[in-house]
Amino acid sequence: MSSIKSILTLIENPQQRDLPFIIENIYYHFNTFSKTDQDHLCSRVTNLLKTYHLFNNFYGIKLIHVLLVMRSNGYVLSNYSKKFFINILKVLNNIKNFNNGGNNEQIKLVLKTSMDCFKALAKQIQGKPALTREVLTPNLPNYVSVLIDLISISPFEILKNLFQFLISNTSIFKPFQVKFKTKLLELLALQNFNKSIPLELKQITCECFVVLNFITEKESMPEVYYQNFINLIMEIKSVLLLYENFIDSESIFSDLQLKLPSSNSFTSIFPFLDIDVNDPKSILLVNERLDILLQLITSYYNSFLESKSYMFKLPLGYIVSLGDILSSFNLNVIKFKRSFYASQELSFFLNKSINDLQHKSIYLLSSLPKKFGGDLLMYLTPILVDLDFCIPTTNTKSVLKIDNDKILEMEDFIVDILICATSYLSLTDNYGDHSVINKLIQAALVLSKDRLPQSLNDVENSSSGNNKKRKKNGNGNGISNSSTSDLIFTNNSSLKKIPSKTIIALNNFFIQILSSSFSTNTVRSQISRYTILELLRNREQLAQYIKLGVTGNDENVMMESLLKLLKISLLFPQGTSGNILPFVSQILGSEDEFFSLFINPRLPPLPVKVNVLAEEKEVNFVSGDDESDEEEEKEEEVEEFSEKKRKIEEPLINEVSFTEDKSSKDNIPEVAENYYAEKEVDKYADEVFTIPSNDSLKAGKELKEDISKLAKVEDVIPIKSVETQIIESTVDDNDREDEGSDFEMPEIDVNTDDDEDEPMDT
Amino acid sequence: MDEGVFYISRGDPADKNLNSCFALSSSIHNSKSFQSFRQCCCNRNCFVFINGFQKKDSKLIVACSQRALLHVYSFGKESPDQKFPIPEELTCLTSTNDSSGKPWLLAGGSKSGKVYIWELSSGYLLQVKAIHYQAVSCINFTDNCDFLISGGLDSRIAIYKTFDLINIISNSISNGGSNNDEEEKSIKPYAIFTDHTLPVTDIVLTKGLTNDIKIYSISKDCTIRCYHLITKKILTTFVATSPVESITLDSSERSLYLGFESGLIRQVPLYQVNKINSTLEKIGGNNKIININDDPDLQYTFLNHKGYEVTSLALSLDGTYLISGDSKGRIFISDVITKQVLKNLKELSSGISGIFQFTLDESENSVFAEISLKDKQKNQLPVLKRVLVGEKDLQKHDVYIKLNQNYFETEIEFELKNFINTTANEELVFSNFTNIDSMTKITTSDTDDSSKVKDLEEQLQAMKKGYTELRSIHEDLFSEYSKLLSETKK
Repeated sequence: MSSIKSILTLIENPQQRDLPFIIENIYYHFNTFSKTDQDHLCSRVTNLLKTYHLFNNFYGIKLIHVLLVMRSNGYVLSNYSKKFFINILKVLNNIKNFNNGGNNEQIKLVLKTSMDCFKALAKQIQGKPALTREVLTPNLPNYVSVLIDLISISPFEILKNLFQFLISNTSIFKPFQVKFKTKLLELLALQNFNKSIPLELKQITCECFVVLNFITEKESMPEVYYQNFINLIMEIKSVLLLYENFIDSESIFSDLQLKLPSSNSFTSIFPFLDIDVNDPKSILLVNERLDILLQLITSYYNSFLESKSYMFKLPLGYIVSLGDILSSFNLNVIKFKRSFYASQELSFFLNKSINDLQHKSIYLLSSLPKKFGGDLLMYLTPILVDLDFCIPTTNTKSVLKIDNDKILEMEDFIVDILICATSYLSLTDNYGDHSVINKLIQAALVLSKDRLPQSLNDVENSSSGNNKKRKKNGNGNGISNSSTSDLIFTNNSSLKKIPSKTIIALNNFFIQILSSSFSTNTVRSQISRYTILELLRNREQLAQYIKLGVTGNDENVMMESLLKLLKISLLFPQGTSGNILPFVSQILGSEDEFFSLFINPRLPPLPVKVNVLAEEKEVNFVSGDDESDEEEEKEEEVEEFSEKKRKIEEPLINEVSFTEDKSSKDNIPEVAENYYAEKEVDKYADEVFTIPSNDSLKAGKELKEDISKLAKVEDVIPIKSVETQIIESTVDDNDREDEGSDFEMPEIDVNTDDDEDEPMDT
Repeated sequence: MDEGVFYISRGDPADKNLNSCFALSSSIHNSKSFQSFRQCCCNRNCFVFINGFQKKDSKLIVACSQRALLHVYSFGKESPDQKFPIPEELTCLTSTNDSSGKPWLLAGGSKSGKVYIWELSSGYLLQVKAIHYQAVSCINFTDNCDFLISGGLDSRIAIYKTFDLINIISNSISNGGSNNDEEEKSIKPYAIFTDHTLPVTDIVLTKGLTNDIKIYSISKDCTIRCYHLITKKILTTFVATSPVESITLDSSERSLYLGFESGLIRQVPLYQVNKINSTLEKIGGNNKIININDDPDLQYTFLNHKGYEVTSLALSLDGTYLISGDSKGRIFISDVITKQVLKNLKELSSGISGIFQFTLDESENSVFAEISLKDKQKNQLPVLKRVLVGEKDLQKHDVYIKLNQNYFETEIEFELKNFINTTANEELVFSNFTNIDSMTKITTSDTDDSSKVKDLEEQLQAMKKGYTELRSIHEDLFSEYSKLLSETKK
């Protein structure tokens, strides 16, 4: 009684320090309060939402959240859910009407809390038609409307909520379709969309926009989806055609015309671009527009519509062609129109703009494998050629070589290319055309080498200028290709560390190269060298990672990829060079189960006839009364067997080593091991499946009948088999008296001879 | 969790409408039966499950015998959901998933020795290749979908890289844009094995990394041959006393199970005890020949089907139960150790042509009850094309996708401790961590205020004055009006 009074008093005058105490009390003790007190509490909580004080609102919404999710919340739900919802709406309306640039953080928090509370309310009401009718249906449109108005305050959170509404309550959204679309277009058309807006927000904005455009079409949803997508491709094509004014390249633009769809009239999302050559910076508007449009393209196949189980048709060929065309905008091969070389500023912005197209191509191509998987395999070669084409090269004495300096300069871009190539190579283990990705491998090897700081690098370059041999082996910015031990024991403090993002990308790329069948020995040895160095550098972190497992940060992702690279190196050895097993076993042999198994390989446990005695006994019982003498003998044998078996099992259970006694060594460890393993399997199977019990007796009878009939079928009586001999080899001479019987002792008992008693005696 | 078996029959050739043809599925461990399929029968190796068994998107595809037709079944419906006419009758069928586990390709071998490959997401016929000189009897993709392996009545086993077969864009480029015979010629097999002397009846593949995959093939020539996929070498030849009709392999490669025409099923252990050092060793390798002699002690022989050809074999998930079907339509579940029959399932009207073992979660047991007819229509496979894909189709390459990639974080259950912690953290936004508890207010000076007040007071006075004037005028007018009104009444 006193507790409710104190709670009511505290709620009346909300203080920060009291909130956890009140929440806990309400959650556990609300049902112990009298109805009057419960009503009192609920109305006090509601009053908190009626004030214009943000903290009180926050306080009240949190308490409502607890009241809604606590156990036995039926009373609150039926009597107060509507009141709560209306008051939350009032709070949101207050924020909308009186948001005059106050403390934005507090407003955002109240907004987020309100949305969480609403989610909890909706979840509690789910499946309750009366409450849905009374509470949700009349108020939901208002809620959606307010949220749309408040998008500018906390866009990501609100769009996430609205997107869920959009796919689960499409009909409620219909009246707000235009309003929402306008807001989304405002967001999309924000200046510098690609830079100032976080990626997650970009994604959710585009997904909302894409889904909004077709989800309301109930009957022809897949058709509208397809048509919208084609329109989008055509819009991108029209934007790319702007480059025709600046670039002299017929092949690109003819490809653009031929490979992508064209139509005289298509509905474009955005207004025409206004590019002014006198204002060179305006060329970048093309890139910004392309950025939004490509984000929209990816949203078409990445949106989540689980509740709508439609199959949507999508022209994959056009997307790949678009990626191909974008990657062909390569400054190494295209030339600007003469008039544009005159202005330095213009050519600078053109360079920048065209360079950016390759980044966009990689972005687009990277988004495909996860969604389309094997469907992309037929494009694998052209795509890998495109990626290879993006690697910067130099043409010295008509020999095309990769440009090491540029590769290090453009490290982020090259890493993106490698990530993209990895995702495509992972589609098959059997891509056999080594020549296609030669430059990619070379670029990866350049990145895998330690870099000298620029000052030292210049010195080394000048000193090694005349050393042809060295030049041949070493890559400009990498350290010379010295032996592994040299590298390990040199003071490497002056070397620049490879960024972790690069290491992760390289590890994953090398995993694909090693597991494919095409890598050459030279490449493999260079990868092995890199792997060993990484292993030695990260030995402690790796051991710790194996012990503690994944926690998700960058270093752990790096360790995870390194561990996988080590495993793949062991699993796909080719040639004699670069065997890293000694290194791995030395460093991680006792840390990881996989490496332990690799060093100590073992055979699979074989099925052993463990229950055979009991079954034989059962069969005998079913079969004959006239063979009572034989049965007695059998019983004696069974007793003898069980005694011997007990003698074997006891030391096994007590973990007594068999290695000391040679006579007991015969096959016992293997058989015993198998015996227990099989027992485990049986036990596991019993737990997992329910086996009908009465079938076994019937089956025993059937088998006995079969065996008795078999004696009459002469054809079936065979000669001695190889396998029988093998089993017999484990049978001791003492058991030969049983040979005449149809029911031989099983292999498990054959080793349980007198020999076994010796270690026990000793 | 339950484990079940699907079994299908050859069908009665006299029953042209396939009215008596059923395929059934039931539990291995209890008496529960699952989905049954009507008008469902096929030759050996002529059915395939897409997306597993009894899941939301699961499909059963059956190549009808003596018809150039594929039947597609959805779960929750007995009769065929879709029917696709195809260029010719198929004698074997298989499918593969891509590296992400999405159903990808459907491949079938025909009577003429051709292999057809369709892309399941678009329905395009990607490849038609004459691989065998006679009918293709069995076809299989490796688990990682990198190789397609087929066996034929011409006693050959052909292996192709899947990538080579479907790499039609590069192939057409290398052949100057044509996608026909020239291109077909350019695709070379990865390996051709010609060791068998009579028709190959079935092949099974081991699991594991590509480097470790082995192929076991059986033939009418009484041999079972084991090949290594990557080295293309024959490892072991097992010689039986009669033609082998069916085969299954323990998933951990401990035993082979062979079904014979006589109705015997023979277990062949793949490990033996070395007599010299008493350790277990794997048998075979190095092109060894191992004779599978008869088994007088019946230690390795199952006798359940005697008199009827054993047409199909499968093993349970843990490898302890052998599921076998025969030419009479009977199907038995036997214990592999005791060789006893534990259960016999409902008999089919004609010989068993295929067995498929599956496992089910509790949630999957009732999944087909949840799938509405509308959902099923939405989930249909794209129509499988009868002609090879052309350049124009490839330019578009319309694929069917489902939008189900959920990037939203999964909803977290309410937990009081977490809730209180989050609340405490959020509350900090309202906290003041400095010692300064003052507020800067921008206020106007007193003089300004007083002048404003004075102004306002003056305005108020003026308004009051105006109001009283107006009111008096109004009252006067009203009295005048009432006077006039009373006069007119009079």
